[in-house]
Amino acid sequence: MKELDPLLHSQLRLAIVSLLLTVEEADFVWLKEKTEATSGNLSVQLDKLSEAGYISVRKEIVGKKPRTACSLTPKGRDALDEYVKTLKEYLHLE
Amino acid sequence: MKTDELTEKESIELISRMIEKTRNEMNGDDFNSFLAYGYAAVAISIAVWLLTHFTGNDMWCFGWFAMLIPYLLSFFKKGKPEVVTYMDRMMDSVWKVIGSMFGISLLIIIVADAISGIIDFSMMMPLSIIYAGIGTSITGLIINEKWFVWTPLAGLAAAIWMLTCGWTGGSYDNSWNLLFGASFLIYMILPAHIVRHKISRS
Repeated sequence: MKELDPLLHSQLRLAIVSLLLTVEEADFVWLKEKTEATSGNLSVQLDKLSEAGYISVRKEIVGKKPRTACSLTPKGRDALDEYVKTLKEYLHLE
Repeated sequence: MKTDELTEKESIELISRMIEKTRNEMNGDDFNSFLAYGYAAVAISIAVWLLTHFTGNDMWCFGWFAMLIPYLLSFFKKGKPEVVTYMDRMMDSVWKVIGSMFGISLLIIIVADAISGIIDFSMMMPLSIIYAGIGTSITGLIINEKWFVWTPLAGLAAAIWMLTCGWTGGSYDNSWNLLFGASFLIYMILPAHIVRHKISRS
């Protein structure tokens, strides 16, 4: 049986990728609110996902405030798809 | 939420829970534009009707250019939304196309008027009702809200009435102003309030 993607098999990273699956773009504040994570932890996990190419992170200045916008990349979408398939195998759902 | 590892079952549950959280992203503010344009249309229609009625001067119909005010004010809206759903993007695109239709129609009418030497923007009224009605119906289809899908038919009836008047030798008259305001009241203001009420209750 295949191994679960270790990058996604973590509560917060999986939550981030799952949230981004159904939206085109979300900012840091929204992700923080939905995941109920701390800013520091969320920031670290976003960096990890970004380095793996699973999400793209765009930093911009809106008005006078910095804004971090995140979106799922095709690679991240495929990784989540694969992750769910493997999960189903583990759980004998397929 | 932490970075702890999960069991397989917990993973599936977490994915479902997160997807569920994004489902109810729509909020009442999403319909503020409908209310802004709707109330502007109703206010202008009454003002233009009253001014035309009491002065007998059709030039008051240029008051309709005040419909650009909600559009201009939208540029002063601060900040970006925290999240952009695929639905938001789709609706944005639909209204950009509708906006372009308004713009092109206005431009062609201005050119035609300049060539003929006759200033007549009356055709913009039925066209605007039809364009805004199409945009509202498509919005309704995207968000699966029947009030937005079907109420523009009332506006379509008003627009066809105006166009028929033109073809049968009639022309713009003051009642068109009220018809225009009534159309926007029926297919923009009413559905927007109904949907906002539904969202606040849920």
